[in-house]
Amino acid sequence: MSDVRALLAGRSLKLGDGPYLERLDAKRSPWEDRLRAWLGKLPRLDGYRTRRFLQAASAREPAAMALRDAALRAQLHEVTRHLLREGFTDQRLAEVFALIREASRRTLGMRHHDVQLLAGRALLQGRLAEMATGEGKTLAATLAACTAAVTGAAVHVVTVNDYLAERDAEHNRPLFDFLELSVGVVLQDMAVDKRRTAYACNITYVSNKELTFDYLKDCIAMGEASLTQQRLRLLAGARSGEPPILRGLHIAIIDEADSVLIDEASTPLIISETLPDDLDPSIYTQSITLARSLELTTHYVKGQHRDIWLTPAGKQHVRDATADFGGLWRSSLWRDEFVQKALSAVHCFQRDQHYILAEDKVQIVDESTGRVMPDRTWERGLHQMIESKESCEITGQRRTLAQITYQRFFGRYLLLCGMTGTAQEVATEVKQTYGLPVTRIPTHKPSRRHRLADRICNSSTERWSEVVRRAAEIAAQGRSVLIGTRSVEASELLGQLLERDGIEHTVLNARQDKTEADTVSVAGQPGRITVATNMAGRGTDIKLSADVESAGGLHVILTEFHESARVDRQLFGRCARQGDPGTTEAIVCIDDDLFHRFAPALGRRVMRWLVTDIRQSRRWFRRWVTRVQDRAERHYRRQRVETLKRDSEWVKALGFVGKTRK
Amino acid sequence: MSRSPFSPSWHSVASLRPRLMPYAVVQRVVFRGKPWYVVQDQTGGRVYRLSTAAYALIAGMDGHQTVQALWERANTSDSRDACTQPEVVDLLVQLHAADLLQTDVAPDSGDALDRHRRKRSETLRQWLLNPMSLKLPLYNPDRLLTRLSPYVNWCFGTIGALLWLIVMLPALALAAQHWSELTHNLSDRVLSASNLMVMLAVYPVVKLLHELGHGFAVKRWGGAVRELGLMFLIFAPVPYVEASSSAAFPSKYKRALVAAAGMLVELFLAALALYVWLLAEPGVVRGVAFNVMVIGGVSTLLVNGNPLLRYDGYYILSDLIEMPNLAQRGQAWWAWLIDRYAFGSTDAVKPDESPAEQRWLFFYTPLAWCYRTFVTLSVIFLVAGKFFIVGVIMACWSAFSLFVMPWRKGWKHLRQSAALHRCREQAIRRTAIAIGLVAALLLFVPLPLRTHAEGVVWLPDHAMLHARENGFFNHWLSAPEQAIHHGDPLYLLDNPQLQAELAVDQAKLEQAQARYDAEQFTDPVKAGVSGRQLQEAREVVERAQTRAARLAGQAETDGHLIVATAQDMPGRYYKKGDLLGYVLARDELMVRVVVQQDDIDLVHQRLHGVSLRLADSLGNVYASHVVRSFPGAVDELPTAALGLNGGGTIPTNPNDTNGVKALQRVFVLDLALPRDTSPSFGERVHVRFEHGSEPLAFQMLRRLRQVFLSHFSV
Repeated sequence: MSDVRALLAGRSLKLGDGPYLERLDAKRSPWEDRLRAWLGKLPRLDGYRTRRFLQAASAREPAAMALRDAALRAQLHEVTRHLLREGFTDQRLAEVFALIREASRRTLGMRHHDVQLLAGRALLQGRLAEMATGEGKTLAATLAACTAAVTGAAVHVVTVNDYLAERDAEHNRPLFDFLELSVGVVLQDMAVDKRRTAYACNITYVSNKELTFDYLKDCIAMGEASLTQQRLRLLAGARSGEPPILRGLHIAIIDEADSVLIDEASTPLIISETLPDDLDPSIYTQSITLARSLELTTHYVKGQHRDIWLTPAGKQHVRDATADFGGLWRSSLWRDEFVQKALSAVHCFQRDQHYILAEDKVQIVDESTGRVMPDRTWERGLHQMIESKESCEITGQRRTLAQITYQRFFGRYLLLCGMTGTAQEVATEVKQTYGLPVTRIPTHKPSRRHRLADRICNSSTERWSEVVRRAAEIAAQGRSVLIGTRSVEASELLGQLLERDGIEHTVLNARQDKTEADTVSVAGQPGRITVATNMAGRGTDIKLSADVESAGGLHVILTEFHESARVDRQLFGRCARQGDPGTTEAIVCIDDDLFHRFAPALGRRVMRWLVTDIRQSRRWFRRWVTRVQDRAERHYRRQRVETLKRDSEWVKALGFVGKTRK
Repeated sequence: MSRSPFSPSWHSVASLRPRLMPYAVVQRVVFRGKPWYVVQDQTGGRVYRLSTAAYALIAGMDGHQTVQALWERANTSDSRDACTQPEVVDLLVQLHAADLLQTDVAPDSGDALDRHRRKRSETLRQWLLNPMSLKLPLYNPDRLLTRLSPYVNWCFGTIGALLWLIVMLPALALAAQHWSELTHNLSDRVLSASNLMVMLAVYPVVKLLHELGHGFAVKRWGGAVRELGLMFLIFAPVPYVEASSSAAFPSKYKRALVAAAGMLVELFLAALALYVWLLAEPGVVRGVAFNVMVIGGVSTLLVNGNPLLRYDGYYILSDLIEMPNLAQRGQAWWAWLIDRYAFGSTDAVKPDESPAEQRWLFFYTPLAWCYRTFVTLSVIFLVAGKFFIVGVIMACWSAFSLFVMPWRKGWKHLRQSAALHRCREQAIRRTAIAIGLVAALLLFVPLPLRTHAEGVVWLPDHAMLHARENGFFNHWLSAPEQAIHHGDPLYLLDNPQLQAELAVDQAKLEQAQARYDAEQFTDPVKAGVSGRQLQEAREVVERAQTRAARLAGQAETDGHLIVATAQDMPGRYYKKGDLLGYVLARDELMVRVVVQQDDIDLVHQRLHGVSLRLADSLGNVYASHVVRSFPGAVDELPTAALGLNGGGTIPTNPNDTNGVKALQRVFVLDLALPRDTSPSFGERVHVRFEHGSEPLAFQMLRRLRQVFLSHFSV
């Protein structure tokens, strides 16, 4: 069974008293967090130790190479005994890594580079390793995963989606098999038993959402009782319930950590059950009809950040219009609530941008990843309003059973670590909220990615025709092209345009996510044009064919800047991986959402004045975009911090509801 | 944010089965015609006010029903808006924070301990934020008070009231009678060193009785008093009792009486002390009685009785007008006013206040704030003046909590308040504009800079008729009040001694002359000597003659001869230099102004004009100019009329009987008197020096620097 001595050795952790092995929720004051984050910014002076570590690992390589398979495994177990006592010290890590490196060379045919060793070491030190895109994070993670797994800890390799979980697990399976480590993958529609088996493996690949949901399910099932209480109950002859799904929260290696820990962490994970709606469905249709009849500025005002509210005149209007509806409409509280939600549904949420209709159901699309989030619903009332707006069946109200924020969940791991290509912007925040310091890992080979001048268009239509023109132009050179769009809607529009011009292409978006693996596997063929939402960002590894590589590699076109520069960098990071050649370019329009929402009005006017047709720019425009993105990132950061603060205050205030219901 | 029926945390509480802790006592109290329910926690002495809707919900909490069921039951009405989910959650959270809630889940002991720790650090935090008042609980007096209360309960009834009035009313009359005796030189008597010792002894006793008054009043109607301790107000220990359980008394008069009991006790003591003071011989007893009066009468009425400070008066007021938490509600109300009207927020929730309450809050809050600021500032100056290092630290601290904290709070409100959610940018913009405007007004708009001083109508030196020689006044040669011309003989003095000396000198001269004549031809050598003696004698005579001639005075200028008391003068002896009268010429009067050190720099460096008003015609303003300015500072005023005791503005040394010695050195300036005025000599003049204009901020900075220099010498 599990053995976490290696994780605990030399660290003073406060463990929870629940049935799980997990860390107690940290209670730190905001000041302490701030101070930690600030200290985290100080440069680390460990160049000497790093060199020594690398030298030690290389020094042991010949010896490892000489070992037979069985002897290699035996030696690994031998070192493991030391690890259990000493923890992950540099000396022992060098020994283990040298063995795993050799095992990898034998099984996967890939020898870990030095920088990957450094990344693996950073992971086991409980840090966030920042590696440039395409540097082989997946392989680096195996070092940490195998090391932790051989010590007996339950290793959770957390990915951003099922596709990546499955892909990475399969990719590394030979290595794990060689080391006699079992590996499990948890996917979305798996039954509980299979999940339990997967988590019982030494190493489990799982997406962040599945993992958190499984944890919540365990929480609900196990209730409030502490481990001791449960054991006492068992001794007293109580029937032992179902065993928990997880083995405990030992070590989590988070791939694309900034996405999981920052972008997705802004909303808590919620497990809910559906109850029949106790409200009359006609209320929703009435509200939607009413909301559609209201006029902007006279009756309602639309805020900058997707919020909407009634003016006093609007309230009066609604009151008059609903005078003979009766029922809940007579209460101003409910009336305002309905109309407000209906207004949001009508004006703030657009089909194919914020949600899609699939199987006659409203499915939310995650804007940062471009993926459908099944089983996710908006808050009470809003979801039903949107369903009513799209004339779907009203699903009924969702009753929350349990919820948890990522901040709290991942904070409970005995050892939390992660990897990402883009962490610099959020380093402070990660340190502050998760206590994860960021370590920058140098690149193995110098990058051959070349960014072409940005093209700025005056209008959206102009942009799309320019995108089509450029894509066709590059594809004609025998290279492959990846076009990133921000919404499902945009990807489909572009698909139509390409179709119209008779250009062969593939569209990858939330609606076509079943074919993701196939699409990606052929995206590196010559002349191939792939239109994808942001889902083709993180983790997507497009293997180039030899022809494409010689023709100049993959060309990435960004069609709209995202609020977060990290997402853009991830998209650009799809090309020029591991020393391949590649070019990127941005073809955007000055009317884009980002500029609308976050650029100061004056700046927008100047831009409009500067850009009359299509303009190319290398510097000034990019600088402006950086500033606007900074602003946006700041805005969202503030929101997250605020949410986090409210959450922790809330948890404090709700001391009387017990641990699991918070 | 507007009220919303759903709460995102509903799932946390929906299936709980809560009940109120058995020790919680609920009492129905009517505030301004609306019923409220006051929940009291017997252990901590804290009190919570619940609305009827909240009470209905709480009343159903029996440990069997879930919150969901309770909520549904509370909302059985057709409109289903009696209480919303967020309100229910808030209520539960509040009850939990007050340790009044028991639920069916195992309490999180770690959390409970954490809460306890936080509460303790809260006390420390409060003290750090307001170092001028530290509370130190010492003793639980409940048992003692309960045992003693049967003996004193009669005080809080008709008999007590009658007794109080019987003692109080005659005392008031007597105090009025002896008012001047009582108040004469009060500050000196109170602050003298020996009295401070007596006061130090008397003060704790009186204050303890005051607090016992509160305590027994609470006990009289069945409340609990669980805390007696010391509060350090500006380092001075003052006892206090925790009497908040009176908030649950249904009658507002009883609540007010509890708050007033302390003051009633003190006034009663003061009245008794007055009798003692009147009857006793001067001595220790009388001194003690006097101090009891000062403490019980003055300090009680000024500090405790003032509803603008958070002492007894405040509680009496808020009880009588049935508005508990007046101060907090006032802040909330003003915050709403500003959010709604200054920032145009449409979804700021209007506090539920009736129009009459709104009026109270509208006026009370700013008034109390101004007064508190004033008091704190005075205290800062007092403390900082007395103990420099500690004082300045404390002052900075207090200033921090008085000025910086509200700014911080305001800033937080701007940045985070949910009420401004939709107009935050506008709110921030408007605030910035308002602050900018004020700052611009202070920094850039020049306002006239002036200093004021007082002076008197004065004469040029040559217009003063001084006795030129010692002598007895004989008579006026020109009649007083007459026009005279230059060279007119004016008066005659008699100085018999001088006359005699002159005669002697003349005789000596003759003698010397005779000797010289005799020796001139006989003995040239002797003649040489006697010749010199003759010369000397002649000079002596000449001198004496000049002095004698000075006995007769002549006019040095044209003008009117003015003499104050002409008829009394003959026969009076005048010393050389004594003032006999004036020869007043038209246009020769001027104004002699005394300027304090603080202002002299401005007057010297940047004088743009001078205007003055005469005391007998204050309506007219005359322009003037500086005729002469004396370079050095003097410490003697030209006349006592300018000193504080003479009705002027300059503090004078109380030890100086003439009242002309200024405490601080002053500067003297002479101004020309306007032509078309004919003020009388010695008339008071109000002078305004114009220094052009300067923005207000700079003017204030200069004053502040002066204040600092003079108060703290920094």
